[in-house]
Amino acid sequence: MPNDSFQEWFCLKNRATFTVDPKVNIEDAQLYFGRDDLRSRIRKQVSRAFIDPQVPKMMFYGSYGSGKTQTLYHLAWDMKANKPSSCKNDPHVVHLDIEVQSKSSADSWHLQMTEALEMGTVQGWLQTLFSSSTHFDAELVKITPEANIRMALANLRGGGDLAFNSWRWLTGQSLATKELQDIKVTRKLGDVGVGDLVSAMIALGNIARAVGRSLVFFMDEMEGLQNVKQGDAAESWHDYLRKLSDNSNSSVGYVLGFKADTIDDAPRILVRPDVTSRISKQNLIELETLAAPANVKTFVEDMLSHLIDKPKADGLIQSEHLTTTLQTYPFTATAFDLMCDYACQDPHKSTPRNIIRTINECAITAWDATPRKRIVDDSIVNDIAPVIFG
Amino acid sequence: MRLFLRDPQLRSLTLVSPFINTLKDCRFSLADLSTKIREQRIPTYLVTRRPVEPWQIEAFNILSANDYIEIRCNESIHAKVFVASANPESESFALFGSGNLTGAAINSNLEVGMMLFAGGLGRKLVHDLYYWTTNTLRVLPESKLYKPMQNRK
Repeated sequence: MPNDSFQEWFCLKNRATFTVDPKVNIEDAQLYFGRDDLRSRIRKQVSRAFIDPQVPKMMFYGSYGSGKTQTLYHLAWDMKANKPSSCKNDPHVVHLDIEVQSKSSADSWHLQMTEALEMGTVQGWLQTLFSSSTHFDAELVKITPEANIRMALANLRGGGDLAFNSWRWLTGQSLATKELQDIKVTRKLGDVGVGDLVSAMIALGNIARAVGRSLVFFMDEMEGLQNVKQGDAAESWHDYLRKLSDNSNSSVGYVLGFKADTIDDAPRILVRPDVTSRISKQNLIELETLAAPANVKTFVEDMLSHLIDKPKADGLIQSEHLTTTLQTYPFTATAFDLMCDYACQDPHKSTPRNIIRTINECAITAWDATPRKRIVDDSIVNDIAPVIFG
Repeated sequence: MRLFLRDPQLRSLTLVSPFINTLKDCRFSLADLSTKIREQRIPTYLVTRRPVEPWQIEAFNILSANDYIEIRCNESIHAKVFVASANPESESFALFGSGNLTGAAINSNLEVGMMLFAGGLGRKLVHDLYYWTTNTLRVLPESKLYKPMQNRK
């Protein structure tokens, strides 16, 4: 039909194009193509983590386009949708892309994490805790041994200006002396070191746990830590991560993603032995390129089976006598094999991002053809794939 | 050649503007932009209206000669959105507002525009605009391909 949309033309299921992007369409977080072994391995690690140390602490790295963002979003979705039996609470996941300037220190990391968690969320948890307990102050003592943090949390539950300034204090921002007096804390959070910030973060995790949540941060683009050149700033990031990684932290989980072709290319702050030994090396996971022909085929078949409305495509193939199969639609069988061959030529380039882009661009080329083509043939693949994988 | 406020390595450039001209009365001309795109091999997507006037055709001719530029014509386009997707992503930025990619918009018209940097809250907005311009907009039936990209990085 001339008035068909791209989605209708290619029998796409609930999506405008073949592009997969969970940052734009959160439903895309459900998708994870062709990496069943890796997904099983990750699930096992997560399941174990909820037993000990009770929250996951993991890192994913790989080259550009290897699927880090998709892995992080999918893992977060999977953690909630298919909660491991070892997880007693409801996972509360927080996504953020970490921004790092050359002089950034752990204060910046703490601020970004707390702001992504949001003041309203913590206030809601405190209110729930307050409503369900007869001695709120005693509950706060269980949350944290730090008197200043307890005071800030008590103010935060109360609302108003005191709550707002207490939240600013908990995020590590500088307050005027008068503001510190008003919220009845004795010093700026972090004045005595990174441990102060981590204590506040763990207190937030403990509140989450007290109301039946497991707090897990999913933090992407940590390769920005390569920008941190100053020794003290770099050490503060490292200390913050080391303390969160310690087994004594059983309430704040994290899953980090960073771009690194090999582990040697990773920011040293993240992968020093005192961190990796705490989280165990099994939780430092490389996202390899697909490389092998079988991997690429599985990935593409899996992707098409999820994105294509199969009954509709089957009807179209039959009614228009298209020279394709349901398995490879909208590619002809030979164009499908050809694209997989191109994708395997250079293992460094056989990434999910490049493959998805090739499929989308091939389909757009078929769509642009005059007359419009229903299927992607060899000529289109030969036009598009070499410049993406070449 | 530095044309932008920031000058990061670009993954792609998207220009959505109903009208374009050669910008020859501006500090940087359309020909300068085309040279930069060619030299730095920046995949560039232009969505605009079909050229009618000689000044539009002149601008089209400059961009049509560039293998790294895909041109689509959409007669319904009224948006003015410009997205530079960079590596690293945090260096990306976008501009949207009332101004076309014309000398008059830059030099003499009263226009408004909002610059978005891919940091903090701006990050998602830039990402959404990138997705809309490089995916959704390109496959609208009204966005007719005028000239395909001959080279994709």
